Amino acid sequence: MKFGKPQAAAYDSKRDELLVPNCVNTPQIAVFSRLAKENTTPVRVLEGQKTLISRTMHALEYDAIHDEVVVGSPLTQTILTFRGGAGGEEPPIRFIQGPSTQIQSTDYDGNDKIGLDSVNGEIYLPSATSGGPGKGVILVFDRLANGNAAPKRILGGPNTGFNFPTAKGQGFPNVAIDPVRNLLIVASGGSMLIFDRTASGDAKPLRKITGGGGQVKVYPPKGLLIGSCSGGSICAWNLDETEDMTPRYRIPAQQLTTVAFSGLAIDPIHKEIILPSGGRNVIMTFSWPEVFD
Amino acid sequence: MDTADSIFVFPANAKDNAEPSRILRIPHRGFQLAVDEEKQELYSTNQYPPRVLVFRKNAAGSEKPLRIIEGPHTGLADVHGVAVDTQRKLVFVGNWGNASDYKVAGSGKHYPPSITVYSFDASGDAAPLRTIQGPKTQLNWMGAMSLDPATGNLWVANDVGGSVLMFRGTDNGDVVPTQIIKGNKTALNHPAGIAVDTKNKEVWVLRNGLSVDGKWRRRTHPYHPQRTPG
Repeated sequence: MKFGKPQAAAYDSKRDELLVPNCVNTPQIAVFSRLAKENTTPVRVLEGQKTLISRTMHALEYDAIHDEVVVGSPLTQTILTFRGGAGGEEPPIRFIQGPSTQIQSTDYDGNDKIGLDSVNGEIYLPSATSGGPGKGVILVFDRLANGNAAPKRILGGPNTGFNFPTAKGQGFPNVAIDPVRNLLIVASGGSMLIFDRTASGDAKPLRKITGGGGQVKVYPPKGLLIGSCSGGSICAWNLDETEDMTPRYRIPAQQLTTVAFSGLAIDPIHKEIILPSGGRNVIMTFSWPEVFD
Repeated sequence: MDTADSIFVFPANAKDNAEPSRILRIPHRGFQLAVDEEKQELYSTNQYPPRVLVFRKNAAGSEKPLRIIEGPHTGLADVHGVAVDTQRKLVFVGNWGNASDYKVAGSGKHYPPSITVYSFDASGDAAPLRTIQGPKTQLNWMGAMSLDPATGNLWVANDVGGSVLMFRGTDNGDVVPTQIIKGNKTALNHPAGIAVDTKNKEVWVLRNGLSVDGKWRRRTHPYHPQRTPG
């Protein structure tokens, strides 16, 4: 086992493996068997100069349709795409980088979160702007974009309700996409802002869930929004309920384990959720069949 | 190394649940420290934004650095190791090559890894005196560095390269390391920390990974199969 403050994880359904990005010491993407337990050696590790990886990776996505891994390289304002089984010092198969991308970080964070819509072939990247604190935007790129590519859409402005980055340069939101209902969910400022999937410019959210925020994923077949909620819990909301947006399910993860989680991945095949903790260097897996059934 | 945003100083005789004698706040993403005992100065590297901060050795709290090496001409990019040669008045800095100006959108770049060398009084946007960089160097996400004051040789814990590299203090450009410790007998796996013991002519290496046989062992152990020259 070799964790370095993992703040995210993703489930690779093709290989039945967990992808875990080390934020630091040494930054890497370590791959474990899904059933790995304490002190287990990773089955492979992606690291080194040729990978173009940098530290501060706080999110990554596995694309089950195209068998690819998408992750940001925060110190270089770059989006990296690797083949699904990549390991060693393997270079990315594509990377988005350059002045046309408009990707911008801060001195503290930024370019550290990422969302993927593998159905519609789009990558979502929360980015800073020259406007400073509170003026962040979400850049949307074509999945196949490579090199100095411009974003397809940019969502941001006072009507969006975005309030990132913070004055300290932190607080970039996690995002999730529901390609069935055509929704984009942005976990910003303690709320989940729900937009039309193709919203751009200074669009208003369609609705908002308060009491959530932080981590967010979507399970489209059941219209479930799964994310962090109060008390260090994981909650599941029904996206088809537009009036009463109270959580339908809850796991008091921190109360049960005393571990504060800092990431979220879902494994619908085995009806599990995976919660990494950067503070404690652990990955916790909960069985949650009632959510996925 | 690589985590918290503070430097904790303990008295040499501290043990058990001792409180630090002082704490110095540093910017986010600090990596390695080096000390110039003659001038009583403390060097601290900052991975990003890339810079080298020089403090009074006894600085505490939120004290400002005496000087900072930082700027587009410095060649600094994702800064990691630092070592000082007090006899020859040189500062060596390890760079992974990940670069961008966070104030400028789309300015990200990837450069080859390097070791940049500065004069002792370098400050601001100072250009390096020399740069060790290129495929012959074998540099690959190197961690800490340590300088042998007797010889001026620079020892590098070459983390992902799985090796320890020794360069001459006068090296420049795409040079082959003068001495390389690497191979399955070395037990090196992700060597991240390094210290030269000039008196006993040994090099101590902190290993950050599993052993070569895949078993988990102590993260820190002495390593001394080869002698430093001179």
